[in-house]
Parts: sequence; C-alpha cells; structure tokens
Amino acid sequence: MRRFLEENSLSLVFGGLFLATLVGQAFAGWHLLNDELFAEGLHQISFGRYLTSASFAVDVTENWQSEYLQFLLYVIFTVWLLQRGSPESKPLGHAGKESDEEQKVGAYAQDDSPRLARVGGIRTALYSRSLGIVMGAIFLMSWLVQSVAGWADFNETRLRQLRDPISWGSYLLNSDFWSRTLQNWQSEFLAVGSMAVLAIYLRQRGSPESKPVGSPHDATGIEG
Amino acid sequence: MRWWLSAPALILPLILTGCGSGQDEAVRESAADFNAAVSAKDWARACDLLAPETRGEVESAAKSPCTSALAEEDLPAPGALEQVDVFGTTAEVRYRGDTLFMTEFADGWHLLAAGCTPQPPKPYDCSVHGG
Repeated sequence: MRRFLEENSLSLVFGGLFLATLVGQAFAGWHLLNDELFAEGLHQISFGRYLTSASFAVDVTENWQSEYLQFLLYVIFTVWLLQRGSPESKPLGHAGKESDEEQKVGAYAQDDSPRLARVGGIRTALYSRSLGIVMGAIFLMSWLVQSVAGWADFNETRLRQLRDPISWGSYLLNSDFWSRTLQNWQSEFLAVGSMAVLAIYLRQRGSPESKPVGSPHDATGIEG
Repeated sequence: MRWWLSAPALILPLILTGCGSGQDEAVRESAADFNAAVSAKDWARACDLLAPETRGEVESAAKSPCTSALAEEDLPAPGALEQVDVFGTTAEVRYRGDTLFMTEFADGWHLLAAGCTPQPPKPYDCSVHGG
C-alpha cells in the first residue's frame, strides 16, 4: 500500500488537489451567485441546484477546455518546434515524428513495448497519436459544453435584464463566449511559453521539468 | 432547464432548451394564472404572483397598496401564446401583444415584469417591473 502511494504520488496528489479545489470553487461560486441574486431581489438557490446550474458548468468547463488545449498544443508543437537550451524541447536537429527505430514501433518494437506499438497498420498509427487524440477530444468536448452552458448562463442573465434570449449560434459569435475563451487561452499560452524559456536559465533541483542544476544554458532536451 | 454536467454533450442543447421539460409547463401555468387574475380583476391574486421585488416597486412607485396600484396599470390583455423560454431560474413568456418575464422562487414561478414591449436593442419597456 505504502509502495503504491509512493509510486503514484504525483497523480494521487494532483487528483486530490483537483477535487479539493473543485469543491472550493463550487462553494465560492454558489455564494457569489446567491449574492448577485440577493442584490437583485431574486430567490437564492440551494447548493445542489447550483451544482447542476449552467453558471457552475461554464465556470468549470471554460478552464478545463483551455488546460486540455494547452497540453494538446504542447504535445503536438513539441514534435516539430524546438527551443535551444530548454528541457521542454527535443534536442536540436530532432524535429519531426522520428523514425520507427527511434520510436520503437512495428519491427523495432521491444519485448516490453505496448501491443499496439507492435501490431502495425492503422492501430499503431492511431496509438502513435493517441495522446493528442484524447487530449484533443477532451478539449473539444469541454469547449462544446462551455459553449452550451455559457449560452444558458448568458441567457439567464439577459432575462433578468428584461432582454430577449439569443440562440446558441448567436452566442458562438458573442463577446461573452470569446471573452471567456480567450482569457483562458492567453494565460495558458503565457504559462507554457514562459516555462519553455525560463527553464533555459533557471533550475529546479531534482525536477524532471528542469535540467540538472549544473547543465549549461545551451544544453537542449536534457531533463534532470 | 435542469441538466447535468456529465450528460453527453450532443444532447445538452436539447436538455438546456428545456425540450418538453416540466419547467416550461410550470412557467406557462403561472403566466396563464397571472393573466387570468388580471383579466378577472382579481388584483389580490395577481399581486401574489408578483416577485417580492416587483411587488415592492409597484407599491413604491404608486405609493399605494399593490392591489390598487395594479388596477391602475391598465395591463394589456395578451393574445395567443407564441413562445416560452426558460433558462435556469428565469423565463420569458411571449404572447401576441405582451411579454412577461418570470423568476423561480421556492413556491413556484413569479412575475419579474409584465406589460412589456420590445425596444431593441435596449431591454423591454415594462409597465410592471422590479428594481
């Protein structure tokens, strides 16, 4: 048990942090919405009702979609794009999908390679892109849910302002949808871009996200 | 308009628009109840169906009890029901010649505004409204 915890501590800790902060967000968002309803002389809603509200859903999914987009782009872009001196980059001169031998697929698969890396054909081709495909699918699904929940939440506000609701199609062109979307995207791109650059010159001893402390600044694709 | 986050995204639009939901029916019934009260000049019943904020505003604007204030409003007799839109705890009921805005309370749907005429792109101009 202790060994299991130790060997999976990264995912367990982040899973726990996710749940704790999601609960925290739910309580904070519930109080915020009820404060707005109170100010407008409207009926305040229960916590359970808030959890199934469009307001909560859009606040959650607008962040989810941007996180998965960030990692999707990072996974895809780092195949082709390089950054001299960054541990986030592959070594210079290695841009691209690399050879089957380097990737240990098909005839070059090893005894302990996943079966889908060995079988070849469409299954290996799909498996070779499975991380990007799944991240991309979660991104699109989250973005779709954000658009629908955001539309419902936006219309709820419009009705309180004595204005007609708008269609989902109109909402996709509305500034509310793009403000929610782009405010999250810009922060993700800033974080990823600055990580790739800061890791050229700065170190975090023991972290695989950093080069070893003594590595030179121009050493590329080395993780500590 | 009740829905759940984990519902498959493709059916979310249907769920969110309240396709056949009980919410639409409850909204429609409360709106019809209000219109029936106005048409019968049952001002006490009509006042009961106003949201507290709206009722307070009506009384304060007219400086008289809700029942006499509503009687003075000359609310239009609505034509045929055209559309009901429900989003969360708010709703719009459009009749030919009148539009009602409603909000949900613990005991059901109440009128946020009545006697509303469109003036796009600005909000509706409502003879009875809160805030």
